[in-house]
Amino acid sequence: MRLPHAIDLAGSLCDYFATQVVVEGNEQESIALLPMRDLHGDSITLYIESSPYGLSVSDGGFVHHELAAMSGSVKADAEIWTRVEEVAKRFGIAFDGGELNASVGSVDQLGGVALAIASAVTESLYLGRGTIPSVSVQFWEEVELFFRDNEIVHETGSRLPGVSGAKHKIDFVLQNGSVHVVQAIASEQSMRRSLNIFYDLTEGSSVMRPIAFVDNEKSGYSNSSFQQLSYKARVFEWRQRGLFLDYWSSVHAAN
Amino acid sequence: MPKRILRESEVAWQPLAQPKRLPGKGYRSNNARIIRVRLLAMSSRDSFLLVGTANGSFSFTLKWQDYDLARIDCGRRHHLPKVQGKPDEYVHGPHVHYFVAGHGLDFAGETSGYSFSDVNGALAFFMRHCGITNIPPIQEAFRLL
Repeated sequence: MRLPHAIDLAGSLCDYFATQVVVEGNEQESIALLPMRDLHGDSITLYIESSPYGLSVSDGGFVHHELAAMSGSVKADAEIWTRVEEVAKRFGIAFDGGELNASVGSVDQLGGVALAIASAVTESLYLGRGTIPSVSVQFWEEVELFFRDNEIVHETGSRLPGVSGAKHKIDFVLQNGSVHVVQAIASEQSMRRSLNIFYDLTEGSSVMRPIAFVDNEKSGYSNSSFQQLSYKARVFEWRQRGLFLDYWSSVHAAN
Repeated sequence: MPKRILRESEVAWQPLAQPKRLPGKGYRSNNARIIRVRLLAMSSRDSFLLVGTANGSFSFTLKWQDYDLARIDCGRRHHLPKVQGKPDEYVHGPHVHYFVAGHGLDFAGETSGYSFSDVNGALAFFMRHCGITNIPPIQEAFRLL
């Protein structure tokens, strides 16, 4: 194909952009859909309002709420907003009040500002791509859900004194005739800590019954710790947690 | 995949500070807020995160590990992934983005299940869409004026 004349190329590009730009609105506010797209394929949207200085153009806070969702940044002084501000400056616009925005004195300047804001939106969104929000469901939360589902009355965060005099924070305390102290164990470290707690609590008392739920999907438990735990406490692997219900019923029946 | 909310108290909007709000300057986006709800699968130990933000417009995304699985937002025009030799295809108005391997959330389907003007209605729709079985009332954020 022979290269068309520059004027024909320019005409073709402008025709395409003309079909892609859609403006809807009323006397107070107009919404412009641009050809450029966000990370999910939606057209970038600009909000155009009348202002005392002419027209104000803004992304409507889109970048702010998208980046907050991606990065979890909820504070006004988070580092990411400084970086968005830098991006905005590079395109000759502002980032304040959570909006990428600019003012224009006349409608002739609208095209340039619209392109600047759209470019800043696109570039800013990439600032959030590297962040992966943590979905941290702790093992003790699963254990608590299990108790709630099975209507097992429990206390959380109790502090009980041991023989040594130290007070230990227990994951759960269950009352069913005798006091059951329950630890949710998901690492070798928490297994050793639980062992220490169980020894200290039960050394001089036969009232407390130690119970351990062990997350069997985690690895790294040492055999010796596991053996000691099995000796000291009634251990339930998480995949066999139904066995705890049988045990709990038998305790209940005995009372 | 049916899911449950780990803590129903998490179904509450939290204030989202708007950086460098200049006095006297009018802003379109107000009452910015964020919601993060942890979910657990009913039949496995998979955990998910539903994260949403609102400040006039809104978006809600369901995440699993580092994948986005579903999303709704206030995008008025969605451009579907280009198929070579075929004209461009669009979805206009409310739509649901869904995950396709290799395309992320680039695909979307039209829906009448939510509107751009009702953020909590959209959140309730999205929670149902994500298969959440225990949907509690949505708590609004408390904001000191």
